[in-house]
Amino acid sequence: MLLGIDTATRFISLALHDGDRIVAESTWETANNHTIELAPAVRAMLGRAGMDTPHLSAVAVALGPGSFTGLRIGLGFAKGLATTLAIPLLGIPTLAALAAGQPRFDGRLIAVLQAGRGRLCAQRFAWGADGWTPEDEAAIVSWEALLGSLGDGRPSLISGEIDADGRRLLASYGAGFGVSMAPAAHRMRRAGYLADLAWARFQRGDVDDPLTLVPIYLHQPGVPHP
Amino acid sequence: MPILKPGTLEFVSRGADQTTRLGHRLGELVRPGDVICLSGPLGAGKTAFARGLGQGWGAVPPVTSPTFTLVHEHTRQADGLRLYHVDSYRLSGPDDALTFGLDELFLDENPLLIEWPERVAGILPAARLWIAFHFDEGDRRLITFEAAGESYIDLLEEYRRRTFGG
Repeated sequence: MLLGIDTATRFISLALHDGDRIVAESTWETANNHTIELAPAVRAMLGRAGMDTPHLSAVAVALGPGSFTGLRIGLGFAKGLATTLAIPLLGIPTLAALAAGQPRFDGRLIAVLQAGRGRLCAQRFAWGADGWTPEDEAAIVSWEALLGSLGDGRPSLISGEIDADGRRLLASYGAGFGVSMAPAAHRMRRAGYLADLAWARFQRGDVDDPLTLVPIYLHQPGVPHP
Repeated sequence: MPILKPGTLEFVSRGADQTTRLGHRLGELVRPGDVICLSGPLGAGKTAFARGLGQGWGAVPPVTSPTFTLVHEHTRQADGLRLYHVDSYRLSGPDDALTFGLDELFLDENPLLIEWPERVAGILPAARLWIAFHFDEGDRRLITFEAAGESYIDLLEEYRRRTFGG
């Protein structure tokens, strides 16, 4: 049983993957109470599935990009669990997990999360033999810069956390840039997809070292910003 | 006060009291989501301006220099918004800023007032109001305002109109 944890933003998502199926999943928005809510929620999910921590064979966590506190809490919790239970740890990029939950689309996928003050953290994906594959690195952009880079005739689907301003902007101008927005249920990051990606890596033995795994913050020092 | 070009403004303050009043006027106009940077050496008027800005905005308790705590939060009774007052003086750079979670403060819509913004330049949004304080003769200070982004150009224009007329 693999436990998937995503605390990269104000949305927390948890999932249990038994190798074939997602047997439990839970996603909610926290009012910045990751610390208070995470451990009891994991306990409750295991209990609902009739299990306890000794049933876990691996733990996967959203590695970022994401907010400082959210990532630290998720990674700290996952490392603690992996180390005490002596099970493998896997870090999964946040936007790759989001992309994995999007249906096939004939065009580019732009996976986003909020970076604050009108900025986004965005990464482009293209559909390939293994599903959605990154076309570039995640980067902080303004809505204006993002839309401005898309008016090339190739249709774009944007998914992930999009705030009210962003939704209004897309409703008004998206069509002009060939951009459509994924429906609300697809925009939500669900740990079931993160767990799916992690399970495949776990099967290959491609796991991370709890001592050296570090989060990817939204704002990496030295990265230029618009 | 000469208008150098749209989005900029210069003013010479006669002293700390006038600097505080200038801050007060701006505080009355600060909107949710605004990022205001206060740049200049120690003693140039950043904290005097910030104190006035906090008063004008409605901050309780009064804004003081947060040099020893990095971030002060001031809640306004009217709408429960918080004014974040950040002092980056003791930070060595964006690395340090991340280790105390400065990026979190950008994720909500509470206005941000940042002293020593140069030290965290890498994580500031491009759109912002940048206010620089320079020593002049005696107590006088040259204060330059520079707005980046349409909404801050509008803010500065409104500030200029309400504070200096015209």
